[in-house]
Amino acid sequence: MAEAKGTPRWGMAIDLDRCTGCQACVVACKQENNVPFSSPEEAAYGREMAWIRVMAITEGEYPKVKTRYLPMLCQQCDNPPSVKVCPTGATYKNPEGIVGQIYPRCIGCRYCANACPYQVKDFNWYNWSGFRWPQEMRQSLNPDVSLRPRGVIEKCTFCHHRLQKARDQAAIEGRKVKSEGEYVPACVQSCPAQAMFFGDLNDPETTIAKLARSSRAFKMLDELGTEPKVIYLKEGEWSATPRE
Amino acid sequence: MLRGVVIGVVAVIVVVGGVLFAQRLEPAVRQPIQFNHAKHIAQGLECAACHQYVKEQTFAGLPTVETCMMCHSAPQTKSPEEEKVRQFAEKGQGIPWQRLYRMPGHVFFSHRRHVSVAKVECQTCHGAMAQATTPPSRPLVNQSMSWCLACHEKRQASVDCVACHK
Amino acid sequence: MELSRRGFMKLTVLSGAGAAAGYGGVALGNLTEAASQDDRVPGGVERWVTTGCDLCSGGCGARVRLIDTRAVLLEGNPLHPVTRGGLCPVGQASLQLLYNPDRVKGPMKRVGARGAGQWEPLTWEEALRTLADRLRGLREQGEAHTLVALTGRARGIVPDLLRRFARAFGTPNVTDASGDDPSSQALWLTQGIGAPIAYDLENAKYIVSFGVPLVDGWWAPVRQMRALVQVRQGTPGRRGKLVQVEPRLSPSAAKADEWIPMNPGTEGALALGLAHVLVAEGLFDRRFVAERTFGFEDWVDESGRTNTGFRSLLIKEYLPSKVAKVTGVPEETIRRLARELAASGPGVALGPAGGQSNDRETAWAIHALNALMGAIERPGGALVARTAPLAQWPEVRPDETARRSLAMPKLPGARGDEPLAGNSFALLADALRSGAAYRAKALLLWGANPAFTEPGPGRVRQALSEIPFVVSVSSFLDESTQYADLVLPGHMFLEAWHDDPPPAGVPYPVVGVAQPAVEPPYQTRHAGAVILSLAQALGGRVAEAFPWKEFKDVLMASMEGLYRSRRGMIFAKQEESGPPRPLREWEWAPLPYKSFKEFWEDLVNKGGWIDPSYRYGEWTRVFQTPSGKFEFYSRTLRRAVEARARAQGKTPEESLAALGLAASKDQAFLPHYEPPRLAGDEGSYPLTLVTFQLLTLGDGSLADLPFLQERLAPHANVQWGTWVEINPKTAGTLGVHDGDWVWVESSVGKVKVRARLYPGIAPGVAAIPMGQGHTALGRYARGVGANPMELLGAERDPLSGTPALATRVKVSKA
Repeated sequence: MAEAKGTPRWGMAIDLDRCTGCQACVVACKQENNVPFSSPEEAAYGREMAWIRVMAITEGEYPKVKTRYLPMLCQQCDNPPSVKVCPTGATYKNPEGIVGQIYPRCIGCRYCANACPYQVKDFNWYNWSGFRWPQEMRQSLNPDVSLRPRGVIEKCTFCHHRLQKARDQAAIEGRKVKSEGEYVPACVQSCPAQAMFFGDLNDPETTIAKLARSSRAFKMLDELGTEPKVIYLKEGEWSATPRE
Repeated sequence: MLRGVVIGVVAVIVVVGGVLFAQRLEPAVRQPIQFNHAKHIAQGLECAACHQYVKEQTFAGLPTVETCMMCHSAPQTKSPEEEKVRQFAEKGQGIPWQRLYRMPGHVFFSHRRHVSVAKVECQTCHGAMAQATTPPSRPLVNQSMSWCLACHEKRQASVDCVACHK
Repeated sequence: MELSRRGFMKLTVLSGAGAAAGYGGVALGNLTEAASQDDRVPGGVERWVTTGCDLCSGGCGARVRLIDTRAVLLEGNPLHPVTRGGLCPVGQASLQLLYNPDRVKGPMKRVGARGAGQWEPLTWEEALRTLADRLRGLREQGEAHTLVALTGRARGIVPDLLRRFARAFGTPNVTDASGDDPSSQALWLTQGIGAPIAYDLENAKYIVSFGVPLVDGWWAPVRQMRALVQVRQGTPGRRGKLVQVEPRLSPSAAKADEWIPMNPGTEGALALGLAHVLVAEGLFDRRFVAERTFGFEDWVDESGRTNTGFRSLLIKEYLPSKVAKVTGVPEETIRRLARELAASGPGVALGPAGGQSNDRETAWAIHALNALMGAIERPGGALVARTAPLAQWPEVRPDETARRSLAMPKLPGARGDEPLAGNSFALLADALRSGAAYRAKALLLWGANPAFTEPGPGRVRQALSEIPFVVSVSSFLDESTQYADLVLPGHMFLEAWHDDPPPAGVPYPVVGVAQPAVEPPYQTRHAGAVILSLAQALGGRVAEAFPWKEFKDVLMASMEGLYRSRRGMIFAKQEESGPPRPLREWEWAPLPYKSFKEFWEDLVNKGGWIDPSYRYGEWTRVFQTPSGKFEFYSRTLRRAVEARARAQGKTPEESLAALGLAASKDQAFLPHYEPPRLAGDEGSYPLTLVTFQLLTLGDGSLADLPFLQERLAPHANVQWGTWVEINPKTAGTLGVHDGDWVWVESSVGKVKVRARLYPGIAPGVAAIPMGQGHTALGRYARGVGANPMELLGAERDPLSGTPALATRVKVSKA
């Protein structure tokens, strides 16, 4: 795949026909991004955290019932409602369109979590010490991502640290990051059914740009004008989707 | 009366807190060996000779006792400081070097990015370390965020928040 | 500058409080230390090591990201030809197993009463000496056969070594906790081969799954997820179809194109109903049936008696109208499904997943349906997996003591040579209590936890407490290990060499080799090496049977067979997308290695070896039956029953009757429907309970991983707990609301769980996931949820004795 031309616009596509709702993406994300785990008590308070979740929507009555799985993560909106309400500038959109969350700036007011129509911003209730992260377990933490303190809002960054790593490598080799395949977030990397795709939406040759033009493509709650950079492909029909 | 107590308590908080905070800001770093940077540089060694990860990793790395012993297994000088290297080696321990520069947990600095990609000189951030004859107990450069940003702006490097804060 | 703004605020407040209390400096020092420790994850040099995941039968290749010596991420190995870089949530979460704070950190011996949880550490030398002395004692008294070995999840060489040890030592009593897959019984009955059926899923265009959890935990989950994509999106312009027939809308049913709900345990009847339509409407594969099968038409045996053929049986007994009544599936649906299957080939029928007393008959009926469609030995059909050419180990030569003990009858439940023999620890446990031919005097638990995973765990616990000497090779103090006298902790998978034998269901051989990626931090040893040390300690012929110093030697000795076969290839980057395909003739090239050493190094670096070729229609290999054909009428079974009858001094008819099968003599050897046996009377226990495994928890050994406890199943939206799925209609009659605590009670026990009102389950059916309700294991599992196994164990398969995972229950508000 070619190098990115101009400023890339990173986007993701999720093929719901391939997705089996297995949640490998969820666990991969938590492992990669040092997202704390809950306990039975805290989960009962609704304090379980995940930057990507698999929602299940069951409709109908027996025997005509259908359950659909919907991986839901920050849609990296081009017009993000969460940014508009942040009183401190902790959440903002960067030049490549990734919506960042700067934890030291965040005061935990949770306006953004409420403004986000996708409900993908989680409030962190956890301290990084004691029972939850016994010393043994801390060994698997990723040094590329911070340990957020209690009291901030957290969200998906499209594994921005992976982009930087790819970009460093590209710069040393005297080129730009490839528009596809070189920078891949942990969830996309992990997907056993290969239902997730990632790349530069500005490069018309990428798989993701082609998928965005597919007849199956749609954007979540598009009518709100949020302009997501996560594209879903609807279930249940055949279409020419390029592979790998 | 009550007002006096309140003022007193606040004063104690401010004084004690302030003193302790000031100490935290400038903790004196004492190294296990009085290492002479200037002398090593004068022998023709490059920074990367001892800070071996500086071009490849986010961190520069502090020299292992094995690295030191490559030259110092036999005495080069009569310095008692040099003797310490062999003592550490004999005990089979690493040298407990103390880090001089530390970043807060939410700041992600990469030596690789600055040294190998942007070709920034070591002294730009570390000052006249090459001329130091004893290990400094305080950072030679006061690295604040505005200091980082000034350089980033000058060199037209990224000033995007997520570039450094994760 | 080291302090964050937040930390500073916290500090100033605390320093004030500390100063006011008069001990500011000390308290502050400790606090700031803790704060800075929590602040940042230490960095280090990054490395990637190719390895493999051994947490299920899927055999996924993996690579692990290391920061200095810490493992921080497990990813799929992109070179693995079957899983191609995919890894399921269990693999992703497995570092929480590696770094679990509740791992056993060294050998321990029991000091308090059994089950009291009082332990004392001891050295490996002491532990192995204790074990060897005890086992030597058994042999000296001529009681080697009273040693029972039970293996758990482990696959490949380690359980092979254990079986080899049993043979050299002299015990016929080895069994594995996972039991036999029902499909291997079907393959044995019809094709004479006791192995799971391999399905060529990737090339199928129409799949009818009879309750098989294709994408939620069955066999090789990642392979099956990818195969499903291939079925649907792999052929331009044509989307394959998956039909799921099952009482509940499982994740696999949700992903199917069509879900056909049905009464639990009646899958066999439905398969035969479909077969009826194929035969009645002339839609079956006439050529295959005529040329390659036996017993389709009525036939006359040696004694001149006319036997009913499969065709007559289908026409007479399995009319769609009749089947519709049994299964609850409408007659029109049965007819439509059969016609679609015939028209939209290649089609294949899978199942069942297992768990009913009639699993064997169900699997048999389903496989017979495959034969009628001609879906045997055909692209997209049911195949017989080729085995990997691993090097054979030298023959074991048991000494006189061992030979005498090996001649003793097996205890019921110990794995036999044919799939009809039971293979179940619950059965063994029963035998111990009811007084079999002899009593077990020592038990080796090899990564198995029957006191949790077996139906009716109470009886297993009782049996465990009665065995004089119990040794558990386990990484955790699980429920069964609580009863052990000696605990020997094995390495975790990223710490040790292991091999991945071909995953169940894959038709061609794939062998994964995984190297250690991290240093074992505790006093653990390789489970395989423990067997080698034990054999050495016992000496004589037992030691002679193990001519290897360490486990790696065994592994290399086995893998040398791959090198010598000069076939296949080491995992490599594939240019084309899609699943591996058989290599074409011109693609064959001898492996380009000058020595085994070169081959081995590449094998380890790339993660494994594959021989992706399958020759369809090697009839003498795939039909090992008396007739040399696919047998609708199972002469294999008839021989086995006759042999059994002779051994028991009965007539075959008596022997059949004693087994309590409902089928008449004629039908007994033909694929037929046997109603499921459900414990409890319908009046007191009006609901039928089915149990199921979650992809996330498996059999429950993964319940100590917090990342998985949070993610049990998206459709249920329950975290850290157990639920019962009931239809809103059923719940209405019980006065139960969504989220209520309810008691689910069977004739043998009761559990308290949360009610989930789920429209995706048939009225009158309740479903509970397995894997929770631990009373031991570790801090994240203990006391979470309830174990449905407590409700089970009363009813079983009459032939093999394997307990059913379904029962009658009643549900009431707690």
